[in-house]
Amino acid sequence: MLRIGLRSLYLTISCFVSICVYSQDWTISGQATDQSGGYLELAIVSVRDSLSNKLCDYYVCDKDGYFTLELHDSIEIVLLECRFIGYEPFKIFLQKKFKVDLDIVLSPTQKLIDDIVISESKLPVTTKGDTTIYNLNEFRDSTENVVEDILKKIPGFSISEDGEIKINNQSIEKLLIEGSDILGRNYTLGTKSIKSEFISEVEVLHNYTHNPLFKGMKNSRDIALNLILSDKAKKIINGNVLAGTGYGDELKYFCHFNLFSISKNKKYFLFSDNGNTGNQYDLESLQYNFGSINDDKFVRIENDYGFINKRRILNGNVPSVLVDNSKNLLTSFRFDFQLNQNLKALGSISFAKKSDEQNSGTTTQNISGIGDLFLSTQNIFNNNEKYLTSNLNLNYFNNRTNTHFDATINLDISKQTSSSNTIQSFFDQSNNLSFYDVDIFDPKGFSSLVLTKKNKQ
Amino acid sequence: MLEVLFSLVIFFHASSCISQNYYEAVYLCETKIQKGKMHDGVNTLYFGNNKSIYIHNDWPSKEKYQNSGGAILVEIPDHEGFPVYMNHSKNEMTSKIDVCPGNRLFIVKESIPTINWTIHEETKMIGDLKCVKASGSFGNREYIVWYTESIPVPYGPYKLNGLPGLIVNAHTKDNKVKYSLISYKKSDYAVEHIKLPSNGEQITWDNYEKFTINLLLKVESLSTATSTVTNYDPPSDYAIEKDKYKTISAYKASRN
Repeated sequence: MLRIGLRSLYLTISCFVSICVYSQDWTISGQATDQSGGYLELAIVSVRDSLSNKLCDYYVCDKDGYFTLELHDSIEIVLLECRFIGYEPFKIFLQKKFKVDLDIVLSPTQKLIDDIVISESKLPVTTKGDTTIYNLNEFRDSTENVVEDILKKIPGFSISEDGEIKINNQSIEKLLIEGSDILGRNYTLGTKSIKSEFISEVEVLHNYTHNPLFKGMKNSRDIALNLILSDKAKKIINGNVLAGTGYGDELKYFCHFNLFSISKNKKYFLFSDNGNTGNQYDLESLQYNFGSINDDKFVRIENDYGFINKRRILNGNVPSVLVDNSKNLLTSFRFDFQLNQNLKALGSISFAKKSDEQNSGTTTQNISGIGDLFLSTQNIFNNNEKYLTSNLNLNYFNNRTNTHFDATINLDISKQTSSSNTIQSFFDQSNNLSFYDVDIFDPKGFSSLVLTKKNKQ
Repeated sequence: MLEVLFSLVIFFHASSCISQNYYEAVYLCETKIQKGKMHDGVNTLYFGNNKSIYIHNDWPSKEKYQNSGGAILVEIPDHEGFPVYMNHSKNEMTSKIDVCPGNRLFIVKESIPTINWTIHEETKMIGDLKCVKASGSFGNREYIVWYTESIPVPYGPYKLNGLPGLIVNAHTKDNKVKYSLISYKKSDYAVEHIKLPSNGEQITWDNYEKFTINLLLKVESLSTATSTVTNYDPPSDYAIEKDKYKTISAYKASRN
């Protein structure tokens, strides 16, 4: 009886143990290293059912390169793969075993995926190497008029009041049109005047360098914008005219137009801005290198031009559009010719004229010591400035011989005339019978005042 | 002896070159959440050497105000682009808190979130990349993502991570958050971006909650007999992580 009982117990235990062993999931663990023994943290180890190719489990290696995978008992053979960026993938078939220990050594690969661009048509943004391309159609909502308006709608772009463009808080180095630096430093000439519908794409050129010899060397952190014209803008001549006038206290007017023609080898740009509404381009714009295409030192400093005296027209910190009645005329013509495969000519000629007049009003003060006399003073200030600038740049670049030659000729002519007229009159308040009429004089020559007594009629 | 030394130098130089590859993946982020405009646009993930940083390139750098149903929301600027920094060796994630009580920007250090991904059998081509479908839950939102084993790194946009390949596309089932990979490339400059966020005040989550409650009590002390002054949690869909900020409502519930 005891013997039968023991035998039964033995059979029961044997059966139980074998069932346990049969239903035990299996584990694969190990360590991933490179050929020098360095731990491959974040290497990805995955196992697939060799029959169905279904992913059974995966593990992201820890800081010591260790991994552990657990597999269901029903899987007999698996394909284990270990992948790590920059290394050849490791593959091995493994048969079911209670516990598998595996050390994996990966070797570097030469087949790196270095550059991938996902080009789905719906994406408004695509990148190609160092260039990010924005499809402007995705940003249009019919509220934009000029280029500046639509650039403001692109995420990451910001435009200051004076038109300076920043991308992710970095000022752009250049603004090109179809690869041409035809606008020069003061690119607001184009961004504030060219109609946005003429532009189809905007390219942000990272690591931009003006010198083609340095292109691709990635030693530059500068960025530039390249405006790509829409097909309809690639006609013979394009442009727009905007003009207006109105009469309040005085006649106000403006007339603005731009014309451009862009083809593969010849690019022209004519810009003109005239008026007295206080928001025209004027001589101060020249301080932003308005007339120069090629000046690399783009420094916004005030009154650095000796030939332009500081304006004495005062606006009392009121916006110039409200108080500035100066008459401005500015015309600029620019061109960019590809003369042959290697030689390029860029040039510009700009003329600016500004006429200011300010009447400070009449002030009256008592002049002691000359009876009961009062002095009435009225100041009228006039300022006229003219400026002509032109430059021609020849740029030679030979790709085969890696030769680059750049030469620029500048010609600047300026003229400024200003006059300050003071009209003063004295009058005797006590008898109110006589007063002195004073003629117009330069204030510096106050001593030359001539007083003429007159009797009141 | 010199030859051995020379070989060693070459070997270590070569191995260090291999281990110091850095990459950048550019995503387009599109959201329909209240704070979405700040996340939207181009985002860049830089990674290498077991560290990564996710930067919102278009995060505002100047203070902005937005009117939200009568309430004025202050958008706190961050010139660092509201980064999410991960150090996988230490299992640490350093990011910034979405709400800014007292207009202060807080930096909080947490563990890298573990997402229990389900890998599906479905595959599709996105560009030239063969991608595998996966789904998982993060920040109270269900994500459908497509990752590629061609780029075997466990990274992805924002705080999404842990798949056996780079996440190429991700969107939530409620269509409130969407990320699309635009480009991926090896980048020598990426290493310069991978650094701990510094624009903000370091704080623990517990201390952040205490600060929020103290601010609430201070604000409520301005209440009078006829008017009640109080603070509220941001709405449910305020941030990418839904319902994350419930400190005030939890405190008010416990107080009552």
